[in-house]
Amino acid sequence: MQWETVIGLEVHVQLATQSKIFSGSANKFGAEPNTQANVVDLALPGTLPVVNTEALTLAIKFGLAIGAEICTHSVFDRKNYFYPDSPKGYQTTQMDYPIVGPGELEIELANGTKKSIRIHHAHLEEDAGKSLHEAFHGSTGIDLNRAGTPLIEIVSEPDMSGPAEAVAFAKKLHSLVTNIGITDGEMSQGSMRFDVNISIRPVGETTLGTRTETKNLNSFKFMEDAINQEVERQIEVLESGGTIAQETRLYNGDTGLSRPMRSKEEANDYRYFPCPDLLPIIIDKSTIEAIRATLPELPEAKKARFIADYQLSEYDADALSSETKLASYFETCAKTSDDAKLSANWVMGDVSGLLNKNDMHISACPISAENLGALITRIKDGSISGKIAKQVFESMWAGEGDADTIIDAKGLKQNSDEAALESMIDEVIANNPKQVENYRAAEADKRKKMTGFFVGQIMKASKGQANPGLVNKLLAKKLNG
Amino acid sequence: MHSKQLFFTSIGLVKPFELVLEQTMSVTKDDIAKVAKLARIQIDAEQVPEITHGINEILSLVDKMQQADTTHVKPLANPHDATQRLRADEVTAINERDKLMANAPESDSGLFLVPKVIE
Repeated sequence: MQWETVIGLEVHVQLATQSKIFSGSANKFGAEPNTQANVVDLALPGTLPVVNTEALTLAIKFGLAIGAEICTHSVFDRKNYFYPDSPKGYQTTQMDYPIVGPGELEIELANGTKKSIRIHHAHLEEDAGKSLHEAFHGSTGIDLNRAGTPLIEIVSEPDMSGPAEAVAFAKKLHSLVTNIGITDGEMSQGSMRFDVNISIRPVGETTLGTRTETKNLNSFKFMEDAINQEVERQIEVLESGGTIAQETRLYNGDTGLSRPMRSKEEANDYRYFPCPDLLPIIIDKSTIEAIRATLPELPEAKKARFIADYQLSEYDADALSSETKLASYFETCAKTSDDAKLSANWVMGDVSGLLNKNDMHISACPISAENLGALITRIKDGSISGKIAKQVFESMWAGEGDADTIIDAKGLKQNSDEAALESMIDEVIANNPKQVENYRAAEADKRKKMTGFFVGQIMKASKGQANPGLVNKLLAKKLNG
Repeated sequence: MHSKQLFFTSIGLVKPFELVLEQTMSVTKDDIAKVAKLARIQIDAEQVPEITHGINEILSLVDKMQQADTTHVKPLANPHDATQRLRADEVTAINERDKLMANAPESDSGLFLVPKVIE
């Protein structure tokens, strides 16, 4: 039987606020355990939550970026369950009146066509603390630094039909939320986590099959792998006459295996009700418009502008516009050097290559965009050849200074002195009579290829500094003359 | 421990806008046992009939309320005629871990310790 896959995503995004959603504790990754957890985060009796304006603003920003309606009347609810890393005994979240209503996000498929993925809604909620099960004999250690970190949960419609579409959507969403600056997007630190709802049905069937939910995937690769596995598992179950149980599954990134959560871990009866500690949130239209005015250029618009203004290819524009910091690095470099095409080549080639190799982000690049632009300017004005530029680039990366300093210090300036080059050429011709004879005996169309030998000798004699254009011109004159 | 008030909140039946209309609500002894388990409230078997009766009395009051015509009434999440005050995004808390942790029965290396929650 032919099966088709139906996927919907729930995406948790940690918001980049200074403080927590309901308390004045710091919201910063990596602090000593429990040093960012105050009486509210610990749910001590008598404490009350107060909503952080910035968390609302960032959630609204997201809503505006996906063209969603912002709910001017929004309500916090309690989702009740007991787990030690949630000291209140409930999660404060939103159920019936989420802050962000329906919107959509367009993804591009491998064949170049576009598909719109509908977003059902996005709501505000708080993150839980962390449980450490390993280190303490017979006990679980609880770190509540993360408890109360503001999150938005973005819920998509089941509009994706396979792992490729799901990953494309996840990447698009990651690019969007980091571009509008509502999160740092550091997936390895849990800033963005994906729950994947998967079901299958026979091709042509219109009702949905029973779905399973694989929780807490924090990399695109894990997501793709988990989907492939789960689809395969469901096909196997159905084709051998079984039925799919609606269950929550856990995927282990280390082993690459998934298993159903034990029913004990699963408490689906959350008994939601409006949180009596929090009044409804009312947001007026002028606030929404003021937030809209702060939205930066969105990736799609940036990509279109890169193509129009810089004549970049679709591929280059896509890669360079996907991340704000990379995009601004490229633009600064292009403005400094006044050469967008060369800048794009350097940023996507040498810069990205070394960043990847060293597992570094563009924000940590040891060469500033201005300095890279200055290097490109030296290629353009003929001071150095492209080949020497690579050498200068490596020295710049190693922290030896800017392009001009290195070119001066190492005497790398291109040699364009005609008289000096002519004498080098004369010497090479005199030292290689056999090759000269062969060259002169050859047909005109073969000669061009044979020139390479002489150019090579001259570059060697000049330590790579001879101006290649000038060498070619002078050499042709001497050999043919 | 098991006053009507406490149960009323813990079973989450106070959500006014999702109640099923035109249907009499009641709970069984099994419902009570399940809800008590979810709310981590221990009740003795002999208390169950009395509590079931108590809850059902509350629910019959809810039934009566259901008969009011609310067609043109907007759902109400909170009875107070007020909206939420917001705070600026500023870190105002200081690190008081030692003081707070002093209340914990057990701790180690800056972590609260609880009985192991997974096998």
